[in-house]
Amino acid sequence: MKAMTTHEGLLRRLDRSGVPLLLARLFVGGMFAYLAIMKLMDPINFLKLTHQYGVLPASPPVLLNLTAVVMPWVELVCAAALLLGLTTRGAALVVVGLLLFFTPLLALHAWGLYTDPTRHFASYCAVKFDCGCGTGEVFICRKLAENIALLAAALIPLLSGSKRFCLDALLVRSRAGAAAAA
Amino acid sequence: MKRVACTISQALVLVLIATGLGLATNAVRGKDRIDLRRDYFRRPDPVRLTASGPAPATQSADGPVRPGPDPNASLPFQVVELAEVKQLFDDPKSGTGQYVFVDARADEPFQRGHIPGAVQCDYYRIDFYIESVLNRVLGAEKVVVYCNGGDCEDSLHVCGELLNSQIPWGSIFLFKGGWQEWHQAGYPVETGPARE
Repeated sequence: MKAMTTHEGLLRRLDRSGVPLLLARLFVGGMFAYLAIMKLMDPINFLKLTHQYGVLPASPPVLLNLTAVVMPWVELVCAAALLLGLTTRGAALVVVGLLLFFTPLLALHAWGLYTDPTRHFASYCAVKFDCGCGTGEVFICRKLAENIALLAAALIPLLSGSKRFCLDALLVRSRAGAAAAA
Repeated sequence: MKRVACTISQALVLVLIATGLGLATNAVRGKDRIDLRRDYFRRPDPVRLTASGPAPATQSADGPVRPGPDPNASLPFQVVELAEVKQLFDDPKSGTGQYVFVDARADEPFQRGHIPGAVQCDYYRIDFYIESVLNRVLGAEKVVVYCNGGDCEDSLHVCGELLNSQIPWGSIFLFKGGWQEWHQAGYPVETGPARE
């Protein structure tokens, strides 16, 4: 019991230091910014790759086309929010939602491309395709591992009680200051 | 509870900002703009497109064979293989514009290498190309359309657009093996933008 309390105390102290939050924000924000910029550089290619999943109906086309137009910007805006530490939890929620939706989709799509009759795990990992993630052709297991790491890191800003090194903290402080002055 | 509501509203605001930015930048993108209402992936239907046209029949009763789309074919256009494409390329008619090669790929792969003399017609940015392409292919005896090869369907879509622009079905040929087959065969390659 005592060991658990100490353990909890350690985690809380670590969280309060703001360091895990800062590292997670930089990692997730940096990755998402990079991936979004790569998509924005060739929107037509992103549209084609989005279509390959067959998740969105082809008719009417507006839904698919709108997704291709908006999705990279959602990633970029959330990346900027995470890097700045502004509306951090909201940005983390969007990122977690995106990862929870697209990661199983990627795994399923790779399964569709997986033709090895022996069904060895190693040959599943050898499936390579352009997932439309912004990194070109990737091996599926590497991509899944990357997404799981991003998901784990994105949960930190979503659940953290700290606001250290965030612009959110400045806003809260200035609001509190204004309220005290009034 | 308040914290959850605050997080959700932050997320909604971020998505709304992103939607606004996405739509605004898309509107001013020029060549890379995505037309929200355009169905980029609808398979062309030559049987329907040629239904009111001059040559829909596959066989006329008292004359020579008049080519037309076969509704049961896996591909709705005449397909040419690598050897035939090479023959057409070597034919003097290629030099006189009677046989025209149309490359359906985007700028970057086209400029890295294409069939010499091919005219570029990037299907996804067709508004920027169709006029110059029609200038080249109207009146041509044979128009060979290709893209990357493999699963690529851009050439198929360009065939549909050409048919839509009054190019007769009988003069449109789909080179399914595309750039990959041509390049792997070691045939002549031209780099850079299309010739004027």
